[in-house]
Amino acid sequence: MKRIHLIIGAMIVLGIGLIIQASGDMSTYGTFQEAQHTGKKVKIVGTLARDKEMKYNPEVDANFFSFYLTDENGETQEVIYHKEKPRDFELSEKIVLTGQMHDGTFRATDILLKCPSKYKDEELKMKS
Amino acid sequence: MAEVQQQVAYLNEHLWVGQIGHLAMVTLFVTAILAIYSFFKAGKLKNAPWMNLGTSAFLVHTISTLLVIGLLLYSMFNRFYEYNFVFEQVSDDLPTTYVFVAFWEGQIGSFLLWMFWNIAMGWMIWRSKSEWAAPVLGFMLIIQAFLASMVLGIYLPGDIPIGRSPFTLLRDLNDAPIFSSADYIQSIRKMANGLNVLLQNYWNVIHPPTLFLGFAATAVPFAFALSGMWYKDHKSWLPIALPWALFAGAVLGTGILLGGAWAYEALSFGGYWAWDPVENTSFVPWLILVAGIHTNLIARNTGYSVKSTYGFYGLAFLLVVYSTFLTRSGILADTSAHAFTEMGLQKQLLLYLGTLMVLFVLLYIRTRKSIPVIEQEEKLSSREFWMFIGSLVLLFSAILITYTTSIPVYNKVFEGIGSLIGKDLSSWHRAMPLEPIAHYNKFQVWVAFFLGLLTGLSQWLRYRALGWDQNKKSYFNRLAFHAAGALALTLLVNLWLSIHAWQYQAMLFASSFAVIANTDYLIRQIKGNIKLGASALSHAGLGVMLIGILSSGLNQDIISKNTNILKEDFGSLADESLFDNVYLTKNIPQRMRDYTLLYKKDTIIRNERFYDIDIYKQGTDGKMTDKFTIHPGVVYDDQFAKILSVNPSIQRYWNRDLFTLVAQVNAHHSGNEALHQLEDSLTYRKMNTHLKDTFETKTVKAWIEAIAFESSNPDYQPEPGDLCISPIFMLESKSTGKIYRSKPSIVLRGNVVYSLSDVVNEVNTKIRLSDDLLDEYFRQEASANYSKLELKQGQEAQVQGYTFHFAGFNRHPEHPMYRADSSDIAISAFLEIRAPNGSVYQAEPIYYIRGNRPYNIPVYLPDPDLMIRFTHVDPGKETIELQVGNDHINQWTIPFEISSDYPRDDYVVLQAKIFPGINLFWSGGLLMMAGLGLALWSRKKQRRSTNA
Repeated sequence: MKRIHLIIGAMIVLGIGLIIQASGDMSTYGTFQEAQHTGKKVKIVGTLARDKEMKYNPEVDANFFSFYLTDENGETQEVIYHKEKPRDFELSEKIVLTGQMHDGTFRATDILLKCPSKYKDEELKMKS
Repeated sequence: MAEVQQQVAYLNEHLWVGQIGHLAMVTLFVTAILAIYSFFKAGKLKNAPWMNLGTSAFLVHTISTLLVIGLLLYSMFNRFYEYNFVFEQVSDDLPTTYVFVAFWEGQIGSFLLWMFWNIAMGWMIWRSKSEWAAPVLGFMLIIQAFLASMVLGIYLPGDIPIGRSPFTLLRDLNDAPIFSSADYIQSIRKMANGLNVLLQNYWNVIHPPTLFLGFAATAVPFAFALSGMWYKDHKSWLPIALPWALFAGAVLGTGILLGGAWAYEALSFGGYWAWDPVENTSFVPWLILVAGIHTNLIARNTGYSVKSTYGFYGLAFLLVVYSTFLTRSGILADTSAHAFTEMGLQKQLLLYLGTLMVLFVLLYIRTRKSIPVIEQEEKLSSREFWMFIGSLVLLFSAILITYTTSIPVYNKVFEGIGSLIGKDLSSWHRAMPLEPIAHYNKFQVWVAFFLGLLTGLSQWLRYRALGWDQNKKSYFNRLAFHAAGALALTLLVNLWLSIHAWQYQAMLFASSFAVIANTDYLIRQIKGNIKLGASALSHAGLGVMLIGILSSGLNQDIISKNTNILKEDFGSLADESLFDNVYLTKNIPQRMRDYTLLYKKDTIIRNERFYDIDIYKQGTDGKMTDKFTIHPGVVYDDQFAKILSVNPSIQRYWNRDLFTLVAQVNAHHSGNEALHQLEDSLTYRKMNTHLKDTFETKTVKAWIEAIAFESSNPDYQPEPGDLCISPIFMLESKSTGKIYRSKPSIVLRGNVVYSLSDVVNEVNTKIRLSDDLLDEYFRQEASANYSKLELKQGQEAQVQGYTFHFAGFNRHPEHPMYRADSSDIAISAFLEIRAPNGSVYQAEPIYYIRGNRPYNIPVYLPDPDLMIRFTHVDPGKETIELQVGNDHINQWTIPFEISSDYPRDDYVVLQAKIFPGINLFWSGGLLMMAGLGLALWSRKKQRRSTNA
């Protein structure tokens, strides 16, 4: 057995170990119920509950934004995000939140918005 | 619909462009296939006629491709909107400079750009006249044919589309009534999409061409590797491919760096690198390519690592294609901040990737046995051994990055399997790590660690451990010296940065080691022969860049962070990434650590709004040490309907950058859409009041103090004959007791009424006057009982018990309602008015003639309730005519509307970060690329001298 083979073998073992570790970092898309149940940080996909109040009042606190999100189970929860309100928030079709439950509200640390594409062919039809 | 269209004889279409274009497209595809066949024949038979045929086919292919590109650019410059491609990419108002950007911004254009560079690479290979030219060109053209198929736009039997043609007509893609009009092009001109303003910057002029040149160049070593296996000649291609790989590495690396610079300077990502899937997929091929360069060097110098060189060059380009697949198939939509529109090319892209992969693997399996392997092991003290380990580390890095980036692919695969076996496998689906940046950093910190150490260690070793026994002692001495130097540098950097995690300390040490060992090599070993210094230069650059990453990435400091937050209130929730913003009110200084910020004003230039914010920095003694103005901004679409993006402002110092970004603007600056919504959502209360009567709203106790007949609204430009009424409201804040003044106006100009509302942000109040106020005015004027009096200068006269004394003229009268014009004849009269009770008032009414028409600007004296108009001058009699009446203003009913929920329009929310040592990152990166370029240059020199 050559030295280089030993090293490659060791690296493969190490690599598999690291990949397993990396897999541990991967998350799954959860629901509010799971977040409530486990108390852990999760990713939740949902839509903005448009009939409920959305609060962002930078004069009072530029780092406080709250809204309601309906998850894929249909459960609606208040979400608090300690940052500015993201641009085009109302236009979002889908919202991906990262965060955890705390004191009955969902505290988001990251928000990813999925907006409809800017240029749609329908636009042409509508205009003409 | 199609039938209807055929009946219409359309005007102003340029169908010849599409006809020629389509013909050229088919030609370029067919000639690519022909060239592939001919070049392989030529390669196999070593036969000149086939080579000539291949060359001719390639030449026709080149001309056709250039024709396609030329036709498209021509249609874009001339705005032939009948073509969908033109309609989607340009608009009438797009500056000419950006037409090229618009060309390669879309998917179709970027494929054509890639093809253009492939052709350029191809002719350079052809020019070399080497025996490798034929097969290498053959393989390059296979890639080219796949790219061409993406823009081909033909249909196979069964309506299977092959590619999307850029020459498709808009009216063939859309069913709309507008296409029944023969002159539809005129009506759609205004609708053309144009280039997103975000992309209209110089970064987009240089970044995509560089990146695609990098992609095209990466294909060359790939084609050489395939050719080597095809010829079963595993030796002679290695030195020829090396300069190509060096070129590809330098260009692709520069392209990635440019992308980082673009993200940092012009986009709102708040940094130069975010481990975004799109960034990762262009970085990974580069890592593998660099690994290939190292094994290629080993193979050339020692004969080891030939197999790995095949593997790395193969993998590098396959990863380029994989990256193309990921970014263009729409599969990343859920995980990347970059938006990519999907064009329905997934299957074709997959076929492209699959074919090249199968081709490579099959060739490898076929020839694997013939690849020379040296039985004797590399010595531990040889340079090649450690270089090889370094290449493995790069491979490791690439595998780990790709593993996480490919999560959406696994989900798609599960979806596919699920639908195949008829089960719902969505529970297998995985999402990106919760903290993606921390996730990647955790692994890559060790990659950086090993790379840093390895570059320093191996630089001083020699291939095949030549003369090791004599040099052993001095090697270890030097190693100890470098380690000591690295330790010193680590300590020094620690004085500057605060690095808490031991992993990062290890990385810092390794990076310092790379800097010291390689710089020492540059100084001592190469002795001015710069050609020998390429690798040391690159590796020193890597070390500098890694230190730059530690300083600017790990030690970036958000100075706008709200430090008053009680972390205990949030426990583990007080994430570091939160509470980043500071709220700035216009003209009110705001402290932020040792900085004071003052938001002064905002200005609109083209479609951007810039905020001028003064920043003062205090030293520890409280004295001002620095003062500058930043201009972060927001970018609107052309209609100002909404905000598209924000534009950071960067204040640069040699050792750090202060980076500022508008995190949020007030509702009034959010674009017209939001403004209309806002106006609709305000609730106004209708009120009628009299002078001095107090009334209350949610936020204030208020009354009207007086009525003025001018306006102080900055938007108001007085014109002759304007009637302007402005009640002066006094608003006492219920929460603070402070009194604010508000002066809304109503203006009658001819038949048009303008209402100029007024806002007091501090009490969230907006007041606008009702048109009825004008009726009230005219009603009161009608019963004002005006009396006329004529006076000579110095004379007195009595009206309604008041004595009027005409003291003199002023030939240059000034008044807010009067804007002097050079053609005016204007005078005002100084009047002294004595009341019956002995009080004395002064007034200066104005009379002027503009364009043969007389105008007057009256004076109203509230206390005696006198309206005094200066209505005529009689030059013959040397008299002036005055009209004096009682308007009974204190009896007026003043109708207005008041809103107490008006959101403030005088603030901006700002985020400010310091990137310490970011110039280390840029300069380290540039040094690395310069090293690659230097290596390329010195190889060329060397080859030229050996050839000669």
